[in-house]
Amino acid sequence: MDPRVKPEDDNYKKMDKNLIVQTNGTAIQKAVNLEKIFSIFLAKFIFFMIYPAGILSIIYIFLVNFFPNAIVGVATTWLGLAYLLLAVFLVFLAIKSFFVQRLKRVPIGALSELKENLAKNEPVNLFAVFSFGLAKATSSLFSNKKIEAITLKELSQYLLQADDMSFIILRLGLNPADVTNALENDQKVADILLAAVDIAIADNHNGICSGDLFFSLYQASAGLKNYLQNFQVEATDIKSLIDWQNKVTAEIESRQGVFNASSFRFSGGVGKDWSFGYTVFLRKFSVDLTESIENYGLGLEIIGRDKEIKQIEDALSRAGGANVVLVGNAGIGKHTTVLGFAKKVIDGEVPRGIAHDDILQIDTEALISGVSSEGDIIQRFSACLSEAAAAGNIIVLIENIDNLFSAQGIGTADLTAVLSPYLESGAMHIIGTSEVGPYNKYIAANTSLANHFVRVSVEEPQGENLVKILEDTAPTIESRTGSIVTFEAIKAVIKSAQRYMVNLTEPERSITLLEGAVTRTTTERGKTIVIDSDVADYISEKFELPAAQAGEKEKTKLLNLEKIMHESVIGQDEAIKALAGAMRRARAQVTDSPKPIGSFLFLGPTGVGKTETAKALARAYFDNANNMIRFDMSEYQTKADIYRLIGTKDETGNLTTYVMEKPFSLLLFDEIEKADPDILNLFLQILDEGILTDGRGQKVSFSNTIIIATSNAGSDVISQTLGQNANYDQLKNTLSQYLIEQHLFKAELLNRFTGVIAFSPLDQKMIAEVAKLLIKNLQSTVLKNKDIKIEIAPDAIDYLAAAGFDPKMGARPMQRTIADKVENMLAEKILKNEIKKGDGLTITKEMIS
Amino acid sequence: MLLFFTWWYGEELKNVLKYFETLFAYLFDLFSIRICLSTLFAVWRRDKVNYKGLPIKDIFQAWTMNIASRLVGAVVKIFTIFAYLLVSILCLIFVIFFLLVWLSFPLVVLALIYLGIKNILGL
Repeated sequence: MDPRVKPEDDNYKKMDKNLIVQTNGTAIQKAVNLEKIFSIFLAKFIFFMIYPAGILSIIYIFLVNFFPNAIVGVATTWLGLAYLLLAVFLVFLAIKSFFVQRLKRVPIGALSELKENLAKNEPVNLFAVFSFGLAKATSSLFSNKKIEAITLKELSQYLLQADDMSFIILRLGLNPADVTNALENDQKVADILLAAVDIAIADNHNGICSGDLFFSLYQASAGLKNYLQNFQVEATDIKSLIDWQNKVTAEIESRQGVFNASSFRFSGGVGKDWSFGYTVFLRKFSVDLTESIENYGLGLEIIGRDKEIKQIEDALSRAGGANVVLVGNAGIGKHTTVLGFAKKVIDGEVPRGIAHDDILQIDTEALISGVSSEGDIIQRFSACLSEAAAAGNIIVLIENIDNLFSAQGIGTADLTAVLSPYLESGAMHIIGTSEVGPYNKYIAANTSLANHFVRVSVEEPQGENLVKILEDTAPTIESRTGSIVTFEAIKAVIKSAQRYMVNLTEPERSITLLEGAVTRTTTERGKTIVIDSDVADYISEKFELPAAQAGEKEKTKLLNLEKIMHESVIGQDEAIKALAGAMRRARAQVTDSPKPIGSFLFLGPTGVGKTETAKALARAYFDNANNMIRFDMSEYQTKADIYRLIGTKDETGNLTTYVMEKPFSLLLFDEIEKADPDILNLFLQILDEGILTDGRGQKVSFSNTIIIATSNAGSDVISQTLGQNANYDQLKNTLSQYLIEQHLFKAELLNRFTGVIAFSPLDQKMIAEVAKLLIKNLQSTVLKNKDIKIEIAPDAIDYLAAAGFDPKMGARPMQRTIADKVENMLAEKILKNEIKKGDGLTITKEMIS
Repeated sequence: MLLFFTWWYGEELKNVLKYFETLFAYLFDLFSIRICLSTLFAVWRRDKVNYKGLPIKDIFQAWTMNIASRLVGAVVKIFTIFAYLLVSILCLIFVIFFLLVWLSFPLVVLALIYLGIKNILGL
């Protein structure tokens, strides 16, 4: 249809740039009008009845005319009615077909033609190239108002009512009214429509769909962009959703229409196996992949594996036969790639030599089931391969093919000798799968074996492909759980899987996380729309992390963390400030780094509060004291001790196991300078990438840990430098230099810490405060255990501060002093019944001196 | 109306012709005619007895079995080819009838209405 409008037509509304939007006379408006009629209940009912009526009338007319004896006593009235019904039925079919196949669709090339006509300065009617959904939604707007009088907000209001827009808006989790309100009215609708034409052409759409117009609005409106940024929605997200929605629509449309030539599937026919051998025995120990795909309904779509599938195709089509090994980590999609290849084989979309072949996956469980010796397994396997080779149309799939060549074999039988002749002869095709490590160990290392296989590396899907895989997976999960997953939830799943499931590969980890989050949200919370915060809540529970957004109680704690920690740590303001800052940054999610939340090296003399500061943070922040673990690094002074931390193939490691079980925790490494240098090297990776590989090869994420290391190294330097009245920054620089020059710590290790904190020695005033703190603890202990209220006189505190002061030993002498002077005295009095439950006691200097 | 007939006798007729063309190709594939013709007298399902190493007295037996296997294959395939021909002819008759109705659709509808009224009024 020619979208050009004749100038003498009525009702046309002139716009700039020859753009006209006229509803009357366009095919798409006719479709909209017909749709209105079809959607009336009475019409629906009549259309529903027309089908059986039409078919019955055909049968009746056929019988009357060709088998008159079969119908006795034919009344001509009924026959006449049958003829009329048949006429109505045929006309109905024709109109319906016309409506679906022609009216609702914009002809291919209409958009390009429109652009050409615009370039020639001819008037064109844009409404004629609107998609059906867009036309239906905006028909009343463009019919009733002049284009110059239409504002962006009005356009948006109508646009957001389109059926295909609801898919996009729902997936973004937006409120249509808020979207409209975010728009400014400072742009011309004509400009927006013209931009939408360009967007549609760029995306190879036949007509302007609702998504194209929405994207045009988004690009033109700063207000809308800002509004969507609050939901972390960007241009690429909207594009991705438009593509998703169009794909779904195209899938539905492709199944409509009676005369659809692409609905035929050419699978080789009834005789595809007639010139090939029997595989009765083989099928007892294998699963027919081609059959399982046919049962899937051939709706299977493999995303992002075209390159790998082509490589398999090329390899297996080589003259003389070849075999393939798909190499990649577990969960990366090796089996899915084989399914994609199998689908092409079924459809005959591969070279003739392998077209319509059967792909049989060896079932290793069945192979070893019920046998009593290795010899039986070897015999079975050999018989299977022999049959496959003789048949001539079999491709054998062996998952984890490296098992055949390892010492373990299958059920401990080494099947290398069985397989090798078949690999060499080229009598059959074998597709194997293997993980990277085992492939390198058992196949690549054996040249004669490796020569018989073409390696196809299967990489992790990333970016757009990963999003598309989840978009493809989501509908299955949604239909099972009766829910809708927003696009932001999908993005959150990908991001969280990357951060918290480092040990698994894409797409398996994202799919697993998506399933878990949706199932949990729908079953336990009863929600039907899964948004990104639902994913965050699921992650918090699954990995025992703090809630995604800090609650009010936690916010108060975070903002007052210094004060809370000072209740148990005297002085050391720099250290406490650095720790509190790291915690606030982490919980406010200011950064997104995979590194630990914070990593600190506390340096200073003994007894000044290094360990106590770490414990204070754990008490202040974690409600649960189990979220901190202390490693005394003086116990890890040899190289072999590294395995106590990271484990071996057979044993778990203390450090890695703890972090796997409690990803959000505080790790305290006391006296770190005493650890073996190889152990210190572990920290380079932990502090830089937030990941450590344990003895079993599993990756452990340290991204949610706080790491505190303490050391006495450089204590003398601290005392000396402070004695020279240097400021804190000078002290830190001097100290760092000293540590590197004395080879106490490597420069690259020191650089990786978030903060290197120098703890200054305690002066007498601080020791007095320490004394008060310790006495306070003693008071609460005695009150709790003995119900005795203790007070201490100021002169007693002064006495204790003087008696317990040792600048070199820090606060530890004070603990001993209080134990000697105060606790001993109390213990005696209690034992002598001089004080009893419910009594009070004021401790004076005389009592303890 | 013009749009409808332009579509009916233009674009959609092409679709219908393409559909039927694909239908016949599909039947050809469904009945595996290419395989049937190219392997008409081939051994059925590669079920062949090897002569190598057989005693002389058994060679004749093996030869007979192989001939039988070929005959079985040939019979099955010939029947399949006949079935294909039969189905194709029936489809062709249907397609011709269908296309005639398609091309004369307005006349067909008018004729049905005429017959309907005629029978109702008993003319």
